[in-house]
Amino acid sequence: MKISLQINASPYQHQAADSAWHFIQAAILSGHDICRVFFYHDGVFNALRDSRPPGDERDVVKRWSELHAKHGVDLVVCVSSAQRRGLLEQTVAKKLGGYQSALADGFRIAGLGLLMEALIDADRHITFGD
Amino acid sequence: MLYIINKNPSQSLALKNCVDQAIAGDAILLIENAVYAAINTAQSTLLQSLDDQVSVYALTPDLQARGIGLNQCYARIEPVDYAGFVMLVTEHQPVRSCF
Repeated sequence: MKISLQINASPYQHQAADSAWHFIQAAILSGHDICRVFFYHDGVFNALRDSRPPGDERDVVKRWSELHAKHGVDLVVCVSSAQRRGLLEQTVAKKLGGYQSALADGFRIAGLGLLMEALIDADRHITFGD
Repeated sequence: MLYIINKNPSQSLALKNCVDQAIAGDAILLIENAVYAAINTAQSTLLQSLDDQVSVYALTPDLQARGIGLNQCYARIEPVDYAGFVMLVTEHQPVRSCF
């Protein structure tokens, strides 16, 4: 079964990212296809490249990057939500100030069209967060 | 319909609204802080008014993280792990996250 997810809350503030990650692990183990994770509103902070949590705790951002590398899960960050919060991808960052991409490996930036596409393509869509 | 609730009843009316709307064959899954609603106390009467034909599940890791034992929960609460969560999602259509 094709399942897409939406995460609306930032990690370290809300349990959403952890719940979603554990759900995805169980879904993949059961043979389901996680076709997309869409990060919306404060959920875009899941993609923050410069996040550096203490070494003895889970690294939420790195965990997403590894999920993409290992299982090819499409990690999409909402462009408007990201730009409002200063999370700029490479081309926009260069245009505005020369700073490098704020997005961690495995994430890509896109609009709500890809959320709609996930809603249409997936058999189920689960929202985590507020 | 599968209702996924993630807030406890003192934070949000989501569970109350689901209890009001749910019909036979529906299921309610309590995750994150919503698992507090699974505790059987004199003050929490919300789940008592729910149709017997609606199943109520609570996510075990979230119960454990909050120190809630199954012996404290309503008898109708069925504990599920994440694999059970996935199964509930595949068995129900539509799935609705309520906040």
